[in-house]
Amino acid sequence: MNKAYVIKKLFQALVTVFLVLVLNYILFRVMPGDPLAMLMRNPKASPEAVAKTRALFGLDKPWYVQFGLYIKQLFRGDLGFSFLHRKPVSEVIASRLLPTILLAGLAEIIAITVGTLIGIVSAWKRGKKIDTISLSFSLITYSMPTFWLGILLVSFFSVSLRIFPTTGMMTPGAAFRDLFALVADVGMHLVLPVLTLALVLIGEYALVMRNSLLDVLTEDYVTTAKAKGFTEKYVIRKHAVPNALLPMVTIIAINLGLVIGGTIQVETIFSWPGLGRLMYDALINRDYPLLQGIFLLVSLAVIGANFCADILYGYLDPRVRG
Amino acid sequence: MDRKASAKVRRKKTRDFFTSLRKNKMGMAGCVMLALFVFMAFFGPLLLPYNPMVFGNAEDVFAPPSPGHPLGKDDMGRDVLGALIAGSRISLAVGILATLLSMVVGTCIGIVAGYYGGRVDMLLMRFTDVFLVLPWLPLMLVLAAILGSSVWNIIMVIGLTSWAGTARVVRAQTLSIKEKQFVERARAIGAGSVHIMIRHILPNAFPLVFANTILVSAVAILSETTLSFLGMGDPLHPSWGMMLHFAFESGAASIGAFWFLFPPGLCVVAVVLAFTFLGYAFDEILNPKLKRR
Amino acid sequence: MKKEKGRKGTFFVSAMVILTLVTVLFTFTSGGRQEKSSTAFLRVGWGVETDSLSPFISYTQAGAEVFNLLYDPLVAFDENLEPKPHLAESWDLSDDQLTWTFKLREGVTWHDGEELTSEDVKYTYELMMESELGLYADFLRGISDIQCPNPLTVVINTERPKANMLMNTAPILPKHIWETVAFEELETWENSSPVGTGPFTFAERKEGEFLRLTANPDYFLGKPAIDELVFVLYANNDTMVQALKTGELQGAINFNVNQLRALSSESNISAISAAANGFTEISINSMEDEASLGNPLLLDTALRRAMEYAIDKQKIIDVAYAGQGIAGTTIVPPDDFWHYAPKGAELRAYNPTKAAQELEKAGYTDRDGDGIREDADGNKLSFNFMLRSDNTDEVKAGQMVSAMLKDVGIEIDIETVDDGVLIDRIYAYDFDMFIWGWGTDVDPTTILRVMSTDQIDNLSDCNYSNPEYDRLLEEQATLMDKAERQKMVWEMQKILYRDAPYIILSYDNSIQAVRTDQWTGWKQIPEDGPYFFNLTTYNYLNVRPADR
Repeated sequence: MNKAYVIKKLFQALVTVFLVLVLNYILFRVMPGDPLAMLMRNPKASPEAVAKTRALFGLDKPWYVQFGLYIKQLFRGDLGFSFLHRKPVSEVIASRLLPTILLAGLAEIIAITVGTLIGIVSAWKRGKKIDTISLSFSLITYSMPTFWLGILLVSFFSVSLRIFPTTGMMTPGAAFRDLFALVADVGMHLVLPVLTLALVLIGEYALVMRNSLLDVLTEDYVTTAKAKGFTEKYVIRKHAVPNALLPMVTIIAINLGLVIGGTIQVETIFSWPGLGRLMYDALINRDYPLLQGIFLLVSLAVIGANFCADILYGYLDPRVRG
Repeated sequence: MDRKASAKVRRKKTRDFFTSLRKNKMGMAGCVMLALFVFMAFFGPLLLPYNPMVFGNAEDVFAPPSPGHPLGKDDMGRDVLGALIAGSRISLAVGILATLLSMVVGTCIGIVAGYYGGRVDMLLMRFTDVFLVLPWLPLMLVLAAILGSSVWNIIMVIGLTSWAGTARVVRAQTLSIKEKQFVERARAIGAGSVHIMIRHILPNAFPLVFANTILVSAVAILSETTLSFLGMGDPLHPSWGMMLHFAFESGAASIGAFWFLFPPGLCVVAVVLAFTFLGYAFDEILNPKLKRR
Repeated sequence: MKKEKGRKGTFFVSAMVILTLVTVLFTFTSGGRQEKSSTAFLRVGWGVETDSLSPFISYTQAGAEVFNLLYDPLVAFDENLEPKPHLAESWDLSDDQLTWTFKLREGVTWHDGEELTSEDVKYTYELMMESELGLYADFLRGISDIQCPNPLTVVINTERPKANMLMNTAPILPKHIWETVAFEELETWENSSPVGTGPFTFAERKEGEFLRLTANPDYFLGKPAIDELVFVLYANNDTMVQALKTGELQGAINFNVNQLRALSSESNISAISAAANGFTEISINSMEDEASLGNPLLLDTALRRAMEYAIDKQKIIDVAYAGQGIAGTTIVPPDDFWHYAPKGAELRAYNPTKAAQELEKAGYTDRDGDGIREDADGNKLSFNFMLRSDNTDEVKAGQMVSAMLKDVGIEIDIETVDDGVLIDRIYAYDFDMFIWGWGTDVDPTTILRVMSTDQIDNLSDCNYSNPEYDRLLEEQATLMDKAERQKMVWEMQKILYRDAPYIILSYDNSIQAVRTDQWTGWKQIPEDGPYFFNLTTYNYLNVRPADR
């Protein structure tokens, strides 16, 4: 992998970031409704108070000045001030970040592990019964609306069987005997949301892994290895799987956007106190700065993940490294 | 290879394609399922007339399945089966129209970027990257909030956010096709860029665009369902997603009105599955590398 | 290719470990506390959390409930919603009915240990009146000055007699805390750890999650049996009801009827649907001013009245609200002493034939045979109708209304919008009709004021204006004789009913439920009223754990 490749990818990523900033800004300027009405919340506010608030949030300046201010503030790490929460956006986001990372992280880990395994088995036993079963499973979960799967799981596990709690991240306001009780409580609350999100992702990872492995299995060196008399199991384990994992890296990065979409739905169904629900609430309440902040953050996360995947890919794949 | 010859080759390819499709189990399953739903959308409302603006009485609300109403009644005392059939029109129409829009946008951007290359390519591809990168559901939610909830706006939102993948595929195709001899020759005899793009590149890139489009349809229908469920849909044109929204909001889960909660979800899964099967089959047939196995 | 399976395994294991650590760390920092096993919890689920802990910037019912628990008013309501002594143990009204003297209870302390004095009362009222912020300023209208002759006496003078003086529920705030807040900052100051005199002290608030209060051991009416009172926010009603069933919650506020039905079979849950002091209305743009962007045809009161005949309110309540609610007429709810009930020919009950007749009489006929009526100049009776997309019941009701109006030849073009858009359109006078609702108070002035001319651009959402009505509004607030005042309040409702700027669809019910196997002694207030949001703190103070 040479420097030029990294610089090229970095440059591309930066241009993307800039375009995201512009688009992000424009989108939120054309949102309907006067943000001031929401900001003031008080119908009896005097004209002076209105003007003051307008000035406080920079709403009295022309749009290009506002854009300039916006960029300048961003560089200072200032994402603006949330209308709804009356706190700096960065603070609001920070308080909701961990629950989402926990939820999405666990779901991703489970989905990647299980999905990869299913994909490998499926490709290895191509055309056999187990392949058909796992392929159908993958395709069906992949085709399922996330929220609907969530509702089904809640109806079954929480309402009918009453095994898991329905909502939230821990028993609200509870005090716990010890740390173990606390973790157990969070764990019980985690099961259904994580399961929902993971099930939807497993299908996709399994499909990608299966395809990728099937691709590799037709490569010349695999055929050669087989011809040399290595067992199929050995060839798959030592040669095919490691190479087939390459596209998975990219898919995981690209999928981050999808995972975020999934968390919005899962967090809505399960009242999970994370970024997804925060975003939905911000949308409903037209809290532009907050929306913009979350939007920017997740976009940057996805751009970053893609950049890392590109670099990793270049490092791992000799053809790109060249 | 002149245009006539290339057209001939294309026709043969098309024939081969359908022969392969018929042999592909998954593809056929997808075709059959989709045909069923299209039939349902076209003729269903004729067989079972349904007016969403006619409401039942108090005792009809969430009435369980009965011989006259095999899927029971919904939160406003209307026949669920009728709503399901009427909903298929909306869901399929939104899915297909949004996909068409996405296909047109994606193809235009992809061809132009691939054909002209250089700075145009760079700029358009970065723009495409933005749409590839921006988180899918949040972007659609924001756009839907800007435009307001109507069926046409939902189509716009989905169409305008899901073209990036198509653009990439088309660009890659264009890059390889434009080096082909027949394109060089067309250029040599003075054919204009637009002419070459439409007459030579587009027809040859079309098969892959089509396969890609099928997969986009699946995503479009899922997107519509999700947007509607989250309350961004059009309550006056109830799609399956909107039905699920009303089912969930009115507490169908807690009172056990599963006849209202399951069928719309199952329909969504079936249609998305049908599109995915088809897309998968097309990919297998059109992607020569996979064929070797 | 160097990558091996072993390394992948290590990656996943370490990722798992990191995530677990994050969980532990997070839960630890965000409310993991050591439990005293004897703590008696009451957890109540709600769908809308309080918007702020500052009474100056909170405009929600949830906020009012919380202020009732953290703070105390001078005079509170008893179980029949009659005024009873609270922070003020007694009061006197001068013979000219212009001077009120309140004697404060002795020895009441703030949660931080400071003593409550008459200066606190004076400071609170003056701040509310001067800033005009919050839900309580309107209660104080008409007060001209406040004096504190001694720490336990408050003297309040009014310009004219003030009929609703004892229905004023403004929470008394601690002067020593609020005087540190600059006046200009009142509108943004969050009061994030409130100090009051109320039965509960503030413990913690996680926005978007829950609000936790703990019992005040020094409360002047005695320490509540509830040690920890937690209000939990639910993003959707369905999961809230599930949580009640599984015992995660002991109370739930405002879910829907179908969920109520599902609860009726549970023996350990008392689920009720009670009159909620509020109504749902179709608001019609009645603005006479030319700045109005509404359809001018709607200024014809005959047309508005005819529309009311065409609407089958009972069926809407049956289907869209699953039978919960009472068909509406006037702007004050029917359980109220002040309610005026139109009868006989005045009452516009559902009658589509009559609607058609009235429309014909007023000159609206279908001249071109397309099923839609036109006026003499050929203008179609075709109106825009906004519905709030996040309120499923209202959307359903709106669809039914539009179908019913269609039947008598009025075309309705439904548009679903979010609250923000609706508010903008109202303030721009850019609407024909929409559905929304109001909550009402014990004192009728609050809801009656919504229709006054001076509330256009403010609380008014139909831009109705009638000088006679405005005059009566000011007048009734000064009538100390209850019967006399009632007559005037009736007269005002009669005017509104005649002019029909609102078509009141239904008087709403609030649907609530409590676990009777975990806490006992629940009481509906007033009789057949709700458990929560009933303007009193009765249940919070009087329920007892079932196992003790």
